[in-house]
Parts: sequence; structure tokens; C-alpha cells
Amino acid sequence: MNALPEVLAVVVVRDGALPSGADETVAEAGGAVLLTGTGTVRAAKELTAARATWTVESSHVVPGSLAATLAPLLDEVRVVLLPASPDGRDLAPRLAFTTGRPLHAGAVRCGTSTADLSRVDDAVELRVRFDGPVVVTLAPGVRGVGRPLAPPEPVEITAAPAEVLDVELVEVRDPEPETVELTEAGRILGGGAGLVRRGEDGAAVMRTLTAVAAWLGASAGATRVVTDAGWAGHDRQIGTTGVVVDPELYVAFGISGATQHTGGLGRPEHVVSINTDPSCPMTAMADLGIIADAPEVLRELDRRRRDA
Amino acid sequence: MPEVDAVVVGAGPAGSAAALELARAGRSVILLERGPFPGSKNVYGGVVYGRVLDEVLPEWWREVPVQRWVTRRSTMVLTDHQALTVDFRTEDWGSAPYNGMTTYRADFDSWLAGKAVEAGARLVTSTVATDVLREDGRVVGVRTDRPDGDIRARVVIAADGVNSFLAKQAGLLPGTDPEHQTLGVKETLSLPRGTIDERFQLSGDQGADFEVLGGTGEIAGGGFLYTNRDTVSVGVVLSLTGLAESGRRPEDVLADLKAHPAIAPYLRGAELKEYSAHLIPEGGYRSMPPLSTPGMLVTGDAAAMCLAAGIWLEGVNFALGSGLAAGRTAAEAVENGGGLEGYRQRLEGNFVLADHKRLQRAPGLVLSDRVQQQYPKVLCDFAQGVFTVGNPAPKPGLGKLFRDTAARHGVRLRQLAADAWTGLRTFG
Amino acid sequence: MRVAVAVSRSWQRVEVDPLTGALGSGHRGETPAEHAALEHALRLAERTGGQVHAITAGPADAEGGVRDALAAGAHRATRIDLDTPCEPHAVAHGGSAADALAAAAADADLVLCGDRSADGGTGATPAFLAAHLGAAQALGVLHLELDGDRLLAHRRLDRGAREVLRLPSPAVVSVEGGLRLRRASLPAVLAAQDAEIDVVPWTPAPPRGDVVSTRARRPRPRACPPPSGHSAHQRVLELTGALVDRTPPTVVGPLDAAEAADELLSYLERHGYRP
Ligand SMILES: Cc1cc2nc3c(=O)[nH]c(=O)nc-3n(C[C@H](O)[C@H](O)[C@H](O)COP(=O)(O)OP(=O)(O)OC[C@H]3O[C@@H](n4cnc5c(N)ncnc54)[C@H](O)[C@@H]3O)c2cc1C
Ligand SMILES: Cc1cc2nc3c(=O)[nH]c(=O)nc-3n(C[C@H](O)[C@H](O)[C@H](O)COP(=O)(O)OP(=O)(O)OC[C@H]3O[C@@H](n4cnc5c(N)ncnc54)[C@H](O)[C@@H]3O)c2cc1C
Ligand SMILES: Nc1ncnc2c1ncn2[C@@H]1O[C@H](COP(=O)(O)O)[C@@H](O)[C@H]1O
Repeated sequence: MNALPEVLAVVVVRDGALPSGADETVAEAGGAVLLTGTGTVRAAKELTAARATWTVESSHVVPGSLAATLAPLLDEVRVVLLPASPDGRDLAPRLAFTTGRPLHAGAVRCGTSTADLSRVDDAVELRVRFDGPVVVTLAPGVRGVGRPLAPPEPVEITAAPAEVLDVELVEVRDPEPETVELTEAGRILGGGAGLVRRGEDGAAVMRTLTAVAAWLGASAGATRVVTDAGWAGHDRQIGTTGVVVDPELYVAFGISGATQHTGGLGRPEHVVSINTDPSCPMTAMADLGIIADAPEVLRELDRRRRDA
Repeated sequence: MPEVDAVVVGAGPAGSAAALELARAGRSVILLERGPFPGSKNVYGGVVYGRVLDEVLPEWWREVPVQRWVTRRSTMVLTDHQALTVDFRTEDWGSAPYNGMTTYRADFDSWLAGKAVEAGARLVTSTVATDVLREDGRVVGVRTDRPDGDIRARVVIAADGVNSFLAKQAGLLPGTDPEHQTLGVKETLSLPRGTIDERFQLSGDQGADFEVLGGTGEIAGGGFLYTNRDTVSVGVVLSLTGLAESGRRPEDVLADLKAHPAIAPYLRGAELKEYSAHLIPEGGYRSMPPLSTPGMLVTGDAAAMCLAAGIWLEGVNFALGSGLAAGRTAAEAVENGGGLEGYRQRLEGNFVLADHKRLQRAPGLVLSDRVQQQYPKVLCDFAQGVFTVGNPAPKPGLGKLFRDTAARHGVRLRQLAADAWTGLRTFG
Repeated sequence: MRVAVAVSRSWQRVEVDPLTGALGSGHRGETPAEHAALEHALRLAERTGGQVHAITAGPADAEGGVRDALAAGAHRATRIDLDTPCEPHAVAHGGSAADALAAAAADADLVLCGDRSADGGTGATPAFLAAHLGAAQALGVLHLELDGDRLLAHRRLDRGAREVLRLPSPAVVSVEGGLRLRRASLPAVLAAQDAEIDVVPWTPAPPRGDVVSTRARRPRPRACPPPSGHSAHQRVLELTGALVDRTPPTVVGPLDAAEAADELLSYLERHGYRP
């Protein structure tokens, strides 16, 4: 059963760890997946949506060589689907180039002859039709996975590694909690307009929030009011036009809880709102509403962090 | 240090017009703009009366970035639950040479600045003028926030808008003056083009311009509602002092206007795209600063040339008119080494100061308590009285009805006559 | 070191009609990430005695971007004459400028790009560019440093991990925003307005007319694992989470800062977020 199917997920793994969106991509591809990278056989056991798994182990995770190694194997595959994780986005264009296929990046749905692409900060969905072979990347988190399947026994393919000019890995560094991309953070402290007093340096306040968050093992996020004012980077904006997060714990400092903000909040199990207004939507949806002056509370927490 | 004939600060309509005129006269001119492109920071309602563009470009309407041509003007008098509307429409305004157009400032300002650049002006964006340079009591250039940012110029033109920083630095504006300024806040709302056509009874590229008297609660001011291609602009203009006294937030006042039964049906289902706020110099003729000082001219909103008087809210055309005059005066002064005194005469000689002189009493009148609070109620109640069929009671005599209505709202006929007379002298 | 910087002149404000999905567009310009790329390039050139070559593929008004680069200190500028109107096809297919850019960047040791262009770009251009040039690639780089005569790039991986990569030559690197571009002096801005820009004519590949529909995005339903309860009633409860234990909502206060901090920290402790 070496023949690869028409639609195939290609997932890059590192040290046996699957990237975000791996199972969704496999599910979208109908259960057929080729794992490549390092620790592929171990990673195969972690899959919950696979019906058939192939592995191509490599010594490094570098896009140029991986693309050149995989290209000859994919001749019969019409739709090559990768998760739009950092490694997927890295490899997909190289695979497309090497195999002479078009790339449809950032899909939210992928069929056998059409794909829906999300563009302009998720504002528009474009459907493209294809009748030849393509490479598609699927945005993580768009579809979910249904009933978990027992991982099938992987079929190992040995492919001759290709020599292509690539970067050289020096080291991999573990994430620091405060820089974990918000989307993956399990705990988030959010800062809103109420956290910054008129005339105060909002950027400094957000730095304090970040420090306090790190102390609590959390990341710092913000509302659009805060990111628009330039007090935090736009990558920190949580909401429908910012990043969509899914933490377990959300602590809102001076946030009113506009739908555009909470729409990007997922379903946190624990929500705390610190606000002077007891009836604002954020406090209404909180498990614990603390009626207090958010800037002062943050300052107090920062004092305790320093003393700790 | 760069040396040029003229430096123009602010690439709004006034500044671009001035730079265009200078460049056309063959003068070297730098046009400074603090935003990343002209119009990026500019806020206004949305209607430009473009006829003055005839002086800029023949058949300007063929290329100006227009949204719709205004063919319908309504003036609405609102109380909190009533509306009396005078509605006017004409096909004449729907073809060349046109009357008013709705346009987005980002498009319009970029277009006009582009004309200046085509003529040879040098536009420098993302650059703020931070001071004027002086020698012997004369303005000789500006300082900008860039490294090595001084520019020497034989004439500096301040076209930096309301509360002109430059005019203040040059000692022409005493300071901010809340009495003579209003705050304009505006929302741009999306609606499908067809829906706009239907609700405002328009077709093709026709547009509507509604001006609102009353409707701003206890705060003196007014409102407007304009149609773009697939958005509408709705806004209020509020007296700064009134706003401060009321303790309300401008966006709440706007929300109330949007919810008014006479306005809400136009906006139903619209989605908010943009909210913006900006000051408007509203003092008119009587609050204008000196228009020049040796080495410097002041133009457009910087010189308080916006005409804001109830049924009119026109600033762009006055900015264009005064900017062209400033550019021409500066070009001549550079050419024959003369002074800048001719600027005021030029403006007196055309619509810019003529209109302002004629309407100099308008701001006081329009923002007066009677016009703001009492007259709308009198008018609306009177209309309601006329149209209410109160059978079996007989119809009232209209004269008596009016007197009674006025009296009920504490308006004395003598005052009314006096205001009417002021109004006639002002607008007549 | 010869460093090329690719600055796009993409649509800054693409508007999507929420009802029809029709696209509208506002002004063109560069992104903060591209400005960061330029700043990286200028710093590297200063440190290594190298040259910076600013490249854009766009219509005539795209020259604004490379002129800004010249004003900030780039040595040379090239525009590849290529227009991408704001229409569904162009928005769907990122990376289509890569072949044009490759033609101008062929002599560079290092090409720096932004991680994403403004008009809904996907960040694919730099990877395609690397493929065209036969160069190594590092995408989404947060930090660049010189280590002897080689460059080290710190790149974002999944879940906040980072990898540190040593770059060979040639290499294409895309960087995230963050590093601020230096402010050009006024004389430099004026000089850049008159500077010579090489314009390279280009015939774009014929457009693939494969976009069949455009609409405002609506999230698709998410699959979730089926409930395991025995009766239908139980499964419904499971799906809706109706009877799941929840912390009862509490509102406390007004509290002063110290009390509020105590309240918050003890809540975190109760729920196992703190030791
Ligand atoms: C099309 C569109 C898209 C949008 N997308 C997003 C998005 O993706 N993300 C997003 O966040 N927003 C988004 N917004 C904006 C959103 O509607 C809200 O305006 C924004 O979320 C409000 O942010 P905020 O809670 O920080 O500010 P505000 O709404 O101003 O709330 C401030 C809160 O702080 C409280 N407060 C004030 N002083 C104190 C104090 N001293 N101590 C404690 N509390 C205090 C106030 O009671 C209030 O509840 C979008 C808007 C539009 C129109
Ligand atoms: C809500 C509202 C509605 C309005 N509606 C209308 C209407 O419907 N029709 C109409 O005709 N008028 C209207 N106006 C008035 C009109 O907007 C102004 O009168 C007009 O814009 C004046 O043009 P200007 O060129 O003098 O100033 P502005 O348009 O204000 O331009 C000034 C320029 O200078 C720049 N600048 C400022 N300071 C500096 C500096 N230090 N260095 C460099 N650059 C600087 C600014 O960025 C700006 O581009 C309205 C105004 C408001 C606020
Ligand atoms: N037309 C272009 N001209 C110059 N650089 C470009 C162009 N398109 C993309 N790039 C570069 O590639 C990066 C990623 O773009 P994109 O793939 O469109 O998201 C941008 O930040 C630019 O550095």
C-alpha cells in the first residue's frame, strides 16, 4: 500500500511533536497523512484523525531539502494539504514550486476541486476551483475534529534525502510564557482602555501587564483601543479583527467586553473582570467580578511580583 | 539647509491649492504634510462645493474623485419627537458644471495634492512643522521634526488647519478659543448602494445632503447626513462650551440623533465603518486672525475661514479659495520682492471674505439659544397644529395658532421680529 | 554584504462589502514589517560595509516606497513594472510577484522581506523568491544578529518556541514588524524625490481565472467529538454543558488595590493557577 491517495495531508513534525492544526488537516484530507520531519513514527501515534499514515523521516526540518525529498513521492497526489503552522507555511511554497503546482494558501475549507481561502484579515472568503494538482494550506482552528480514531500503523517510506541549500539549525529554544503566541496561551491577562489613565504612558502600562502576566505564567493581550493607540503590538489584539484565542483563564483589566472583543475569546473556563463598572458586559460574563481601579490593582500586583 | 521660494504647511485643500498656484507660477515650493498621505488625517462631513475648482482645472469634474453629485438638499428642523423638512431637488445640479459633490477626503486631498506635485511642488509627507524660523521679526522658514529638518523660505504659508500651530507660533492667533470653535463628530456607515438609492430616492450618481437644525439636545449645534456611493456620513456639530456644560460625550449626542424617528429609518441596518472627530473654526469673520505677518500668510481653517452658519457648512471651498489667493500673492511677492499685503485685498475681492463679511452675524445667531432651543419647537408645534385635524373643534386661525405656539415656548414676537431682521440682514 | 530589501506597495485598506463580498481598496503603502526589514538591512550594511538595494514590484506609484527607502539610506532602488489591481484573483494568489522580484535580487547575498504584505498577503512571496533564487529561507524572523561574518536568525515556531538558524548565502529572510525604521533627514527625503530608479519592464504570467466566488467570511461550523452518554437526554446535556459544575459568578467590591489583588490571587490559587 505504498501508493499515496489523491488527497493527502503533509504534516511536518519536530521531535515527535505535531504542529497545531495537524489533526484538522488530516481530517480535512479524509484521513490520509504523510508525516515528515523528525520523530515521525512517534508522532504518528499521537494522531486522532488519521486512517492511513505514511512517514518520511529526515535528519533536519529544513524546507528546501524537505521539498526536494518529498516532491518525487507526490506525483500521484492531486491535493497536497498542509496545516498553516509555521513549518507548514514554510514548506508549502517550496513544495508548490518544486512540483510546479499552484499554492492556495490560508484555506478555511478544502475539497477535491475547490478551496475556500480566507483573506484580508478574515474579512473575505474566496473560492478557487482547480482541476490540476495543487498545494493548499489550511488555517488551524477552522473545522475541529470529530470522533477520535485509533492511530493506524504508519508505513515508513525511505526517501533519498536531497541536497539543497538550506539554513543550518543552531538551537531550538523553549517558549517563554509571555511570548507564547497568544493563540496558544492557556492563561491570558487582557488590558483595555480602563487600564490606562489619561495622559499616562500606555506602552509602559502594557509592559507592566506583560511582566505581571509572566509572573502568573500567562500572556498579555489587549483590546483594539489599546493596540490602536500603539500601546501594544497588533499581534496582541484579541477579538474578531485581532487574534482568536482559547485560554482556560482570562483576566480582563479595564475591558468593557464589546462583542468584537469577546468574540475572539473562545470559551475560557475561568474569567475574572477588574472594572469600575459592575454592570459592564465583561463583568457580567465573569466568574469573578472585582470592582476596583484597574491601574491601581495592576500596580499592586506588580509590587508583589517584585517582592516575590 | 534647503532653500525654497515658499514652504506650505499642511496638504489640506488650502495648502495644496496654495502650492499648486506657486508651482504653476514657476516658484520652488515644498508642501509639508504630517500624515502619511494627504487627507489621511482629515475629517469633514462630506460635501464639497467645487465650483472654485474652475480656477484650478477646466472640467475638473471629469477627474475629481467624486462619490455622488448632490441633487437633493433637505433642511430638517428637529425637536426630540418632531421633524419639519424643507426638501429641494433639482436635476440642474446633476450635470456639469455641478454644484456640490460628496467625496472622501482621503481621495479628494490626495488628488489635489497630486495636481500640485504634477505642477512641480515637492510634497513631503509624514513630516510635522514644529516651529517657525524668524530673523529680525520676519518669518524666514520652518523647522520640522526630521533630522536636519529646517527649511528656509521667502514665504511660509500656514495651511495647517483649525487651531493653527504655525499661526500661534508666529503670534497671530492668541490661543485656543473654545467660544469660536465647535466640535464635529461623524460616523461613516455602510449600506448597500441600492438601499441608499431607494431610501434617499436617488439614482445613478445623484446624492443627498441633509442639514439638521436642532436635534442636538440641550447643546447648541446642528447635524448633517450625506450620502456617498455605498456609505452614508452622519454627524453632529456641537458648541464646545455647551458640550462641556452638558457633561455628555459627543458620541452619545450623535447616537441620539441617529435614533431620532426622522433619521433612524435612513440608517436602519447600516454598519459602522469609521468614527472621527475634529474641531471646526466657527467664529466667522469676527474671529479671524490677522491674515499675514512679514514672511507668512495664513489660509483656510488656520485663518478660521470655514463658513459654518446653520444651513451652510462649507469649509473646503473657502480653503480652496483662500489657498489659491495665498499662493498667488506669495508667487507675486517672490517675483517682485514685494510684501504680502495684497492677500487680504484679494480675499475681499472674491467670495472668501465677501461671504464671510455678509454672514458675520450668522454664527452668533445660529448658535443663540432661541434659534437652537425655542424656534425648532415653535416651528414644529406650529406645523403640528396646522396639520392636526381636531374635529369637532373648529380649525384655529393660523395667526392665532402661531402666536399661541410662540407664547407657549416663551418666544415674544418682538424677539422673533428682531431675529428675523438680523436673519434677513445676515442671510439676505 | 549585498542586501536587497523587497518593499511591496500593497493595498493598505482593502474593504469587503459585508453583503456581496465585493472588494474595494484604499491607499497603497508598505507594512511595518517591511519597514523593519529595511531597518535590519541598513544596520547590516553599516556593520559589514555593504550596500542596500530596495526593490519593489508594482506600478509607477510604488516608487514612493523605494524612495522612502532611499531617503532612509538605501543605496540603490529598482522598480519592476507590474501592477496588481485589487481584485479577487490577485488577493487570492499571494506570491505572484516572486519571479519578478527574483530577477532584480539575483546578485544579493541576503534578501529581506516583510512577513506579510498588507492586502491579505500570505507571506508566501519570500519562500517563492528563495525557491527562484535557489536560496535558503527563514520566514517569520523576530531577531537577526551577526555572528562573525555569518548571520543568525531567530524564528518563531509553534507554541512560542524559537529556533536559531545560521544563514548561508544567498538567503531570503522575512521579518516580523517591531524594529522601527529610522527617520530620514529632510535633505535626504528631498534628494530621494529626484533619485534615479531603475525600472525593469515585466510581463506578468497570464492570470489564472480560478476564483469562482467572493463573499464576506462566515466561520464554518466546527466538528466536535460526539457525546458518549447512553441516553439521548444525557448526550444533549453533555453537548450543551447544561449541568456542568460552574463557579457561581460573584461580584465583589468596590475594593481597594490591595484587597483586589488579594481577591484575584486567591481566586487563581483556588483554581489551581498558582501554587
Ligand atoms: C468592525 C469592528 C471591529 C472591531 N474589532 C475589535 C477586535 O478585534 N478587538 C477588540 O478588542 N475590539 C474591537 N473593536 C472595538 C470594540 O467595539 C470596542 O470598542 C473595544 O473592544 C473596547 O475596548 P475597551 O474595552 O478597552 O474600551 P472601552 O469600551 O472604552 O472600555 C473601557 C472599560 O474600562 C472601564 N474602566 C474605566 N476606568 C477604569 C478604571 N480606572 N479601572 C477599571 N476599569 C475602568 C470602563 O468601565 C469600561 O468598561 C471593533 C470594532 C469594530 C467597529
Ligand atoms: C465634522 C465636520 C464636517 C464638515 N463638513 C464639511 C462639509 O460638508 N463641507 C465642507 O466644505 N467643509 C466641511 N467641514 C470643514 C472642512 O473640513 C474644513 O473647513 C477644511 O478641511 C479646511 O481645509 P484646510 O486645508 O484649511 O485644513 P485641513 O483640511 O484641516 O488641512 C490641514 C492639513 O495640515 C496638516 N497639518 C496640520 N498641522 C501640521 C503641521 N504642524 N505640520 C504639517 N502638516 C500639518 C494636517 O494633517 C492636514 O492635512 C467640516 C468639518 C468637520 C470637522
Ligand atoms: N510586489 C512586491 N514588491 C516587493 N516586495 C513584495 C511584493 N509582494 C510581496 N513582497 C515582499 O514579500 C513579503 C510578503 O508578501 P506576501 O507574500 O504578499 O504576504 C512582503 O512583506 C514584501 O517584503
